[in-house]
Amino acid sequence: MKIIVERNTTTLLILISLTLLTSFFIHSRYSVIAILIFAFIKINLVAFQFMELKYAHRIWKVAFLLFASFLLTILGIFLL
Amino acid sequence: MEINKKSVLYPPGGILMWIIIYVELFTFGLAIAGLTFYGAQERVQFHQDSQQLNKLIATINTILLLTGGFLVAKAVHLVKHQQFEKSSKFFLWAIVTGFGFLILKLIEYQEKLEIGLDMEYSTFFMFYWLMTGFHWIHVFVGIIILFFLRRSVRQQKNNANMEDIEAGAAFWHMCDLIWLLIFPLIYLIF
Repeated sequence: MKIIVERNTTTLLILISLTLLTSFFIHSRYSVIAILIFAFIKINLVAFQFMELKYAHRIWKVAFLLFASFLLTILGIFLL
Repeated sequence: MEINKKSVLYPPGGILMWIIIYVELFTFGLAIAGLTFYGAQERVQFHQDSQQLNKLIATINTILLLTGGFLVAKAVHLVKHQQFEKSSKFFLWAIVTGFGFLILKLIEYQEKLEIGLDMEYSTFFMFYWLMTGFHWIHVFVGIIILFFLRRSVRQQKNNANMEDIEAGAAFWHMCDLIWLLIFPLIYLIF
């Protein structure tokens, strides 16, 4: 139980750190890639840790990962 | 009743909620794809419009939503361990972060409207108002759901349906997911 609580706190700290980090990125071709990768990490942290997707059947995990990857890849293609 | 989350039919929050989550993410995903498509065509205009947004408010709002998600995750965890009083407090603080988000967003909207940056100003602002506006409504609905979850938890129902609580929490987290897609695209990338 304690481990789960600590993981949630750690997850929140990572999420806030990534948010602050992305907010200070300078507009450039490479920052687009970094911002999309950070967004991918953040979305998955929320889904797997806060929404407890990590306990779900692997079909749900794979479906979510594929969906997030597909969406952010499409965005990356449009933006680069 | 213990929910077997390893079953394909019972993801955390229930299969119906996950269908809703995917439909919502797909819908917002289409809008985001549209935004990036037009953004690639009008890159300079989108950049100029994006510079008129308040990134500080958006960053604070992101942190508020993420903190709200964390508080709801902890509240659900506490309900599972029959700590209803403590869980109720976490739900309350999550509601506070939600209201914080809504109020800051309204301040941002007022700033934009005062200088004439409405939906008809440009393609970028059309997407800005539609996407953030619909998300605002989702957060508002999420707060109402959290209010009812908190009331249910406060009544300390031992027979409280855990799946209902997880479904409500999943809706709140969905608002986080949508915002995590909107925030970088609208406020940072262009």
